[in-house]
Amino acid sequence: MATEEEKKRNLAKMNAMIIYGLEKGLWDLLGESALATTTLVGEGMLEEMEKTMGLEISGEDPQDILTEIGRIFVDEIGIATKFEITKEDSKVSMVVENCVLAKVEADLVSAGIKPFMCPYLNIAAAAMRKRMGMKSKITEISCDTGNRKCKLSFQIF
Amino acid sequence: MAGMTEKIEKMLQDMMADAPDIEGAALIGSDGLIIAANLPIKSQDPNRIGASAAALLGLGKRTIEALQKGDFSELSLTGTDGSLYLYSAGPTGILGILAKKGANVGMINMLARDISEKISQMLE
Repeated sequence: MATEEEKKRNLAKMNAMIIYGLEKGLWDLLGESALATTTLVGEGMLEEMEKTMGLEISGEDPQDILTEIGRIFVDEIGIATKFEITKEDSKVSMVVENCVLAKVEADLVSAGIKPFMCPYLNIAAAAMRKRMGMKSKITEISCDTGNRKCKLSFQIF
Repeated sequence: MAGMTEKIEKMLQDMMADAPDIEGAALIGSDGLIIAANLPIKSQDPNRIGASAAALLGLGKRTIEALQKGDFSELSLTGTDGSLYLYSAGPTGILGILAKKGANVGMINMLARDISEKISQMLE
């Protein structure tokens, strides 16, 4: 019988398998259009973060809003160790380090699938579209497995 | 992008002026982003409409591929009060046309195919 520690690890593996299977299935069914689910999935996650995790969106600067979302991910949930936002004109980039989903995201990328169910991506897209009325387009999703670092970029207009 | 959006919005408006059976039109990206739109349904969330259209396009593309019927080009959905026509506009765009019940489909197809071809060239 597995120890409690092994059960925790197996549970994390199971969650990763569910995410991988769900994303692969939707990608096989919809192709690139699977990215259209990003905002809708993010809306539900955003509402949950606002209701139960104390996320308060105010102001109009996407950098401030994304920084607050990142703070909750790192300080309150512990899903990653670092979350950095940079904004250059209409381009917003997020670098996430040591995310617990890094391996599954890298596996998806290597299978030719854009990891459209990344929580940072989904919540950021939903926050920008729903709360700030901004349109955003995903321009980059890259995963550096060796350094456990992901970069996600949007163009805002 | 802003300049192109304005040009496409003008093309959609002109098309609607030529065909009174058309109630609304939009250009949507394959990621669900509404690039340009002239839609009558103000109460609906445009993000949801964009995502639905993109999902329909994705399913259409995959189904046509699986059936080995070449490249996806068009899709139509008909309800009791009207229809939605979706036209592929290049590799990343979808032209959506909302038509009245009993609309002249031949006229809509002619105008929409012409515009989707022009948009496709603009998006390249």
